[in-house]
Amino acid sequence: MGAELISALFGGLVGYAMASGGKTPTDAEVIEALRSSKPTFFNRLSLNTATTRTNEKHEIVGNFLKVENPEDVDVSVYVRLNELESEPIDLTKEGLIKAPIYRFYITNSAGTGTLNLTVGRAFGFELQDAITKVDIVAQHISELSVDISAQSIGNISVDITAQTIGNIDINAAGSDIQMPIDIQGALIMMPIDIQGQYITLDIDIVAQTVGNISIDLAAQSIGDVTIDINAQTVGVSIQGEWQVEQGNQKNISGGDDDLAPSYYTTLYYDIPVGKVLYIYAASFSIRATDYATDGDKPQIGWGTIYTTSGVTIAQFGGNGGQVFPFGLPIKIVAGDRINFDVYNYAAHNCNIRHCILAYEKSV
Amino acid sequence: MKEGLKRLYSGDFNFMNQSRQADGSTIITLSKEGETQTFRFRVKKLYKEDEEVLEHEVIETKPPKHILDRMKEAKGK
Repeated sequence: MGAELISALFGGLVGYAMASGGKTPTDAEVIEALRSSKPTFFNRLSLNTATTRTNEKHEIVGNFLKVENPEDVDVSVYVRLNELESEPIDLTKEGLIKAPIYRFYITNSAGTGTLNLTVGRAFGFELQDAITKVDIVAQHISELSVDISAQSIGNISVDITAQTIGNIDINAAGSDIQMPIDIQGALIMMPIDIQGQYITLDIDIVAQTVGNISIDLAAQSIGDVTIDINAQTVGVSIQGEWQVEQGNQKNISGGDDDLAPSYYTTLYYDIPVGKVLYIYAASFSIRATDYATDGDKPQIGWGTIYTTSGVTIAQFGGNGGQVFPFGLPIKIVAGDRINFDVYNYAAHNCNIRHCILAYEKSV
Repeated sequence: MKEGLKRLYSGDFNFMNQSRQADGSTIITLSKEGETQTFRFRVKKLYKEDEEVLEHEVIETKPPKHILDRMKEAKGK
């Protein structure tokens, strides 16, 4: 057995030691042995599986056999190490075979794809897997593009403590996304377009000023929407104020002059189809028609508000008039009629004016 | 149907005044926030089956031009 083969089978140092009678070689002796034997450290071999092989012999010497791409072929490729009597090993199921090799035999049926092999000839020579985990602590990163097209991804934890961040574009098309975000930057512009089928989105805004927040909810069902406003100025209108603000107020007034005692004036309104009237106040005033003669006398009036459907809503009276605000709005539905009569209960003729304050909503 | 009566029956107004007349008719005046036209009509037997509109007029109620000019001038300052 020559010095080259011994070196190849058992590694540079061990092989040289065996060839040197068991004593430990010096570095100079190892270098000299390498220089004289001139070993090559590895050989590459490509096997196109379109070619059918039966114990195809390869005279390559080495200490290990590495399969580079077992996933690229669709048939099993078998190797018998050194001798035909060796048990066949399916290369497509092995990543690395470590063994003394001076030759091997390849067998495969017809398939597609090319299997690449590397046969190394010394223990001091290694091929490592690709690096897939990166820990970056650089003080400045210019561009970091990551394109992930995997069908399923576990957890991606990102901890960015840089003082300035350029653009972060996130396009999440997953059907279920939970994405807690804690941003404490002094200036943030963050357009978010979320089209997920299920979204949990907690927002806590403590900014000192908030401009416009436009929310367009097109969801078919919305659960709870909790709003906690701690702003220093907030305008909140009650229903009546809001309806007036929207131009839905209904002020209905009337009256008569020179009404004799026990006579009355009236006004009435039929609620239109598709509307509901809410009355929140009513008033009347009454004064003597002949003010010079009866002006110092009691000017007693009595008002009654009722519907044609038979409901008496309010009765009130007073000397000179009265204002009657309702604690709750009185609701009158479409098709019914609201009537407001005011009687002259003074002992002389009087002029009477009366008014209903309400708002009307479409239904 | 006269426009005033349409407004009454559709509820398309904000302010209504009713004034009984000696002949039993009622003068109704309807106006609406933001509009410059007021509808004034005299109706007999209001809301009854044989209701009849005796008179109907549309009144322009916006302020006179000299008032509008003064408002415009004041706003410009």
